[in-house]
Amino acid sequence: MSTATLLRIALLIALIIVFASWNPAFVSGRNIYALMQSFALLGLVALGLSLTMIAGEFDLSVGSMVAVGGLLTLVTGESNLAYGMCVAFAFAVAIGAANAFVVSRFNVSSLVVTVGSMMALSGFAFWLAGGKVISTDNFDPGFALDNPILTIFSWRSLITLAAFLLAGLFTRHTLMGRDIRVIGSKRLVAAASGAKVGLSLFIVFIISALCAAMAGSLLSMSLASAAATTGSNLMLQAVSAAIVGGVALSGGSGSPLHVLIGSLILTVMNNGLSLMGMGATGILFANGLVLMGIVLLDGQLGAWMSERFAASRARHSA
Amino acid sequence: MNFSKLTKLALATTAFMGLAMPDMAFAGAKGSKVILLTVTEECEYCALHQRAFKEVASAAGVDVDVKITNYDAAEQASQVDQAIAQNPAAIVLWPADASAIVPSLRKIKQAGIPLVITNSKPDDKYADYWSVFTGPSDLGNGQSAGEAMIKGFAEKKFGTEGKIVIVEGVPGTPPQIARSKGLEDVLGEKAKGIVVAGKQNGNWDQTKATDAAAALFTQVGPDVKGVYAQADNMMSGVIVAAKRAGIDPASLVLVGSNCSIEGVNQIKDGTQYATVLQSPIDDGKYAANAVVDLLDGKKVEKEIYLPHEIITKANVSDCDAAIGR
Repeated sequence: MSTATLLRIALLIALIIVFASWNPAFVSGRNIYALMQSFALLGLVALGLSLTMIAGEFDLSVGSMVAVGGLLTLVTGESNLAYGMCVAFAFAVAIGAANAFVVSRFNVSSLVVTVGSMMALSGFAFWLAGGKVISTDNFDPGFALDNPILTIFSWRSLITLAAFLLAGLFTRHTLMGRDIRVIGSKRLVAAASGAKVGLSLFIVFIISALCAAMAGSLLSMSLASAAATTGSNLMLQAVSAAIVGGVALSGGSGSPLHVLIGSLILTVMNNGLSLMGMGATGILFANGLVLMGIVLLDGQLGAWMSERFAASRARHSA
Repeated sequence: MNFSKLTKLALATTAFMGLAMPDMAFAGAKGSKVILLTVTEECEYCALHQRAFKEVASAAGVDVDVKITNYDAAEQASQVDQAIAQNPAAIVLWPADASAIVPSLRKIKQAGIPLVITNSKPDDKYADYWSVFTGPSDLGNGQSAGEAMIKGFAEKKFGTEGKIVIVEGVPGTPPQIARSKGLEDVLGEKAKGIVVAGKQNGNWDQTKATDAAAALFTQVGPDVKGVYAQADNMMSGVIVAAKRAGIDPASLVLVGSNCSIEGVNQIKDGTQYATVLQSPIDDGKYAANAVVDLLDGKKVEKEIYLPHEIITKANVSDCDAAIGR
């Protein structure tokens, strides 16, 4: 495990200790459950988005995809929510594939392409919702998803954790996973050495859209309602979670484990600050500070610490 | 377990209950912890509501903990989870979304925490989930607007007959539906001659309301004698549209709503006839009083609505006081 990762784990533990000593209720089962519920939403979106970042691309459309995923689930799943989920997932696969197609076929920056799909999806969400909040009286699936399991988990948070595990195994132990990382750092070299650039891009954009749609779909069942404005600030939070976790904007570095740590750092911080009575704007401010701190830490302290480690290792081996 | 042990246990339990029961039933507001979950720090109405709530609750000795979301239903759901974890004496909740909050209300009910809903009432079919609702009634707001319209017709010597038009909020939202219904109910009952000749959506937005009113003035023509705009900011748009159409706004019966700063200024300079008062300060106070009474073990009505006073030039100072200006 790299120095940077260890630093992040240390930060996460330090945050937990500070909040727990400030208010012991922070480590109560019910509060950890509340924390994991927030993580269930943010983590899933951040995970999908971070895979595109690792592949050196970006998916700005995840926020709108959360809204569309939720709305499609409720609108088409009026009589059968499982059917609604399938429609939402199928739609996400199509959008992910379309994003990847334009990016790889026409060699357009994914930032530009996904700004387009973000706006189109947002428009589609408003059309689906028809200016209203879509709600359902079918609360049972939501209750089943949110019921506490072993006090601190729920199906919703376990699904997110399982997604992290699957993504971790995929990126670490498959050839495609390796390709995704390689095309993120050195695309031309990767292509020359036989990495499947086009296919990798399809996979990451589809996973990104699918994770966002799934987050929206599960959320809409949990809230028994969906609105076109849902998820509007999720994209920025997800980018923050990925960066805080150590995924580079330039691509090539980072892993699902890093995103897991990044998402947990943000959720722990938000939950703890809220418990201390800080308002939404204060928490946003704190998020910004941590993000900037982490980026600086990566550049300065990270380099300094790596040097020290290298120096001490050299001394020992001499 | 032998008999004597059982007896001792029974005695101990009874003694404990004897001590604890009255304490639980009349926990008392003083020293209790109450969590207020509210919507944003950025809207003036919300800020005044929060301030008034805190003032009244603190004066009663309640320890208030506030959690704020920016109208984010998902965030509010996790704040509810966190609030339950803190096990407060009561929760006061301003729903970020009246539909999406319902599953969370059930969780609060299951945790056995008394709940006061403030400002936005979810569908009545879930009324079992909360102890008290306090806040505005959109139906009452519309009814007051109807009364104001009739009064305006009389004052401007239009008698009891003529055409009016309505500029509505976002279609399908509860205030849009209920405010129009309230107005139409009152007109239907007390002034059948005053007829609603057209409606357009202004979406609570001044620019959109200007276009909506322009369309209505073209459609209904110079016969229009009155306009009901469901919010004062939309009335500003109506006034612009009237001037562009060559109609003197002061010659019409213009009835707005909410007592917002635009409305007050327009009433003071004589372009707008009336508005309907919905005081954010009362809104916050009502919620605080309800939770204090609830904790003190007093009987509290299930629904407590704000008064919807009609404001004209004669009593416009009431508006200023209610908004805390």
